[in-house]
Amino acid sequence: MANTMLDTLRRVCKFHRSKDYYIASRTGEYYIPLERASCWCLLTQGAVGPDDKFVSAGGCNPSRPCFRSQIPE
Amino acid sequence: MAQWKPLEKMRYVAHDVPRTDGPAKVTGAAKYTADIVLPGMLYGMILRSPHAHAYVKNIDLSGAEKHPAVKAVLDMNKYTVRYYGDEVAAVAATSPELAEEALDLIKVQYELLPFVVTEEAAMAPGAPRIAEEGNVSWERAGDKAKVEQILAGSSHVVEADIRCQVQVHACLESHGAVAQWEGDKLKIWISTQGVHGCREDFATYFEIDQDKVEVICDYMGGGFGSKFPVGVEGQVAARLAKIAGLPVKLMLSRKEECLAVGNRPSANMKLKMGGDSQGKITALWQESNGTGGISGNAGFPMPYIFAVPEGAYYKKHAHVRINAGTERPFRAPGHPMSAFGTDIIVDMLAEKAGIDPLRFRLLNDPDQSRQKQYKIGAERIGWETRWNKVPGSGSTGKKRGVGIGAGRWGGGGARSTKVQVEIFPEGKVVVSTGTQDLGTGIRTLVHQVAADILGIPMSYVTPQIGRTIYPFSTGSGGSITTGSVTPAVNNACNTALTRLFEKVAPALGVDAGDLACEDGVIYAIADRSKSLKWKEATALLQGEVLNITDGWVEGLSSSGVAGCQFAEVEVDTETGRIKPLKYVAVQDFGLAVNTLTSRSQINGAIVMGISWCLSEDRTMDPKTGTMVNPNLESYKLSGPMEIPEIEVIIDHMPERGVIGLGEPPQVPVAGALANAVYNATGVRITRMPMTADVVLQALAKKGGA
Repeated sequence: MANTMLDTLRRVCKFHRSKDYYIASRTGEYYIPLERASCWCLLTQGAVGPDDKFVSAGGCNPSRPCFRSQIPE
Repeated sequence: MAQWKPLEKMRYVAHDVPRTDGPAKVTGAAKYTADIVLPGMLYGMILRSPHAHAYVKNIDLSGAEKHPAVKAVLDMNKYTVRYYGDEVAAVAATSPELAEEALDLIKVQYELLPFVVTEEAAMAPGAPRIAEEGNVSWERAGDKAKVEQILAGSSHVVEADIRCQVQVHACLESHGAVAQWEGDKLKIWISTQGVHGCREDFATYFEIDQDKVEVICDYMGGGFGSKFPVGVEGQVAARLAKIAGLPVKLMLSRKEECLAVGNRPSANMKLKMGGDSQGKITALWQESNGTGGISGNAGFPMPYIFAVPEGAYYKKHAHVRINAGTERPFRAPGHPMSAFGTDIIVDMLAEKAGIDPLRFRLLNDPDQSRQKQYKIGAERIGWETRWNKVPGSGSTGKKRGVGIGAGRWGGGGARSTKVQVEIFPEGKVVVSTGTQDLGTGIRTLVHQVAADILGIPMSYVTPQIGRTIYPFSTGSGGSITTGSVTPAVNNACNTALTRLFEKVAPALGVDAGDLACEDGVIYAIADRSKSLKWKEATALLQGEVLNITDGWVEGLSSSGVAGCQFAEVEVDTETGRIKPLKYVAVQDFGLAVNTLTSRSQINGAIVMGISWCLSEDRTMDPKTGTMVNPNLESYKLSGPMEIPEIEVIIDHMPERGVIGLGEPPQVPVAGALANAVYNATGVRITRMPMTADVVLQALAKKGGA
């Protein structure tokens, strides 16, 4: 379970934000973000990331230059 | 599991209790973010894109940097601006006027791009693309052919084109912050729905530890879902202050609020609903779209409220990007649109089936709470005598009618919430938690619950909220604040009282477990002659401050609420004006901690829902890509003339524990109003806002009233 949670955290950008981030208990389930939930980037405070591409639950992944894992490598 | 003290033993909970901070608010003693003035403070301002879509080719800040009053300048490092009002640069200067002057000195070279500001244009073949992945994201459910087959075999089928327009956030207090750095420590006053969330976000952004950030929101003038993020304005205030080495205040203008701090997405839906000969819903067919501006998210839950047989629902919904400010959570995200569409189509099906819409709802709504609530509300609005059996058959000229709407919501409680209770030797009790009052009255609820659980007068208790120096509390959203905070207050006060009993029990010659406290007197349950006044008891602390921190516990809150509303309206068929006359709101939310603030909450929700239904309309110019009414003069909010008599009936269920109320009562408002307009006029208006011109056109289309 712990490893699963850590694996999940590694895949989720630490700058990805949504309403649930602020009100939900951040269990493993939270970190399977809703693809269509209202979300934004902490760095830009907007719907577009620093790389000029849109923020999304699935799209804010390690392939983007602005991605930072929740768990430092 | 924990339980609430019996209601008969509580003096404040489940009663009308005026707001603890009411006098401070009406006298101006309450300090909001905009009221904060610090020595040497600068004023921040943001330069925004005048274009709906453009590349930023070059930005020259030198003019602003040379301005003698300017102490900090920021480039937002945007490659592309995607809506009118998108942030480009920012300055901090010694006065707001000089900051505005400095913004004019920033030279930005744009390469203009084609844009789209309507859903239709964005979905058209060859439309300018706002994102690499395209403008439209599809959401599908069900089997279209199967649902159409069910509809074909249904006794009755109705269809409607329904439009819910974008609603911009219009909090009384605009978004903004006052930031002050002391070395590497940030102190920031910010209008926010989550002081602890802001602390984490500022710490992450500036790569400092959370304990180096102090966030303060003693009072705020509304958030409604738009104040979870620190926002560009909060982040920019802190960045400018860091550069300048001076405090910076950055409060947005009303125009900026209209453009850039979020909105409720639109919902345009074509619905078909079928019913059998007995009046039971057989199927629901939905093709729809909506826009949340550049981010595109525009969902709403369907089927809503009413039971649709399994496999009898089909949906094809387009989330559409347009070049406009992005959506944000907005009081019951999605649900008001779901309710508006559903309440209208259900009313239409009831009429087609020849069934009174009230009875139709009783036939099709599976929720037991609403089954009861419909009957209560119908009695209070006078359904039997006021509902026109033939819609529009009332008097000529000004016609009256009634309508029904229904809603649901979740709520719940966050386990992470903590509360500190300090009992001082002089008898004073300070209860602190890092929640924030976005207008619902949580400070008062903390005050009430603490006094009742401790068994002392409210005057002995001081509630403290709105700061990160207090124990962690969750963000205020999803109607979870009351369900998060009051159980934690209950638990922490119980723990503190137990500790106090342990201290004073020897003086009374009894076991601590045999003590109770009521009306400020601690006494032995078996022998009330053994007692101490509260302040006598706390004096036994002998200089020690009893200090307890405890958290949320299971059993004192739950989730899931139901409600319905009945509206009575008068429609002037000569001017087209709709005047809401009366609303009856029946709403459950478990244990009503404060019946007075609960009614206020419902009153406010009804006003907001009427405003959305009758007048609010973000108008985008397709030729320039701009919002042409970014102000409260032409973006019309309801005023006193639109506010009807409101009767609130609390469907009290204390056995369920506390459940939040912030969002649910806004859900049924517009549907009830639309159905009342139809009942009054016999003309079905399915598009918001129902302004006078829309009403007159609809009446004319029917052939006049």
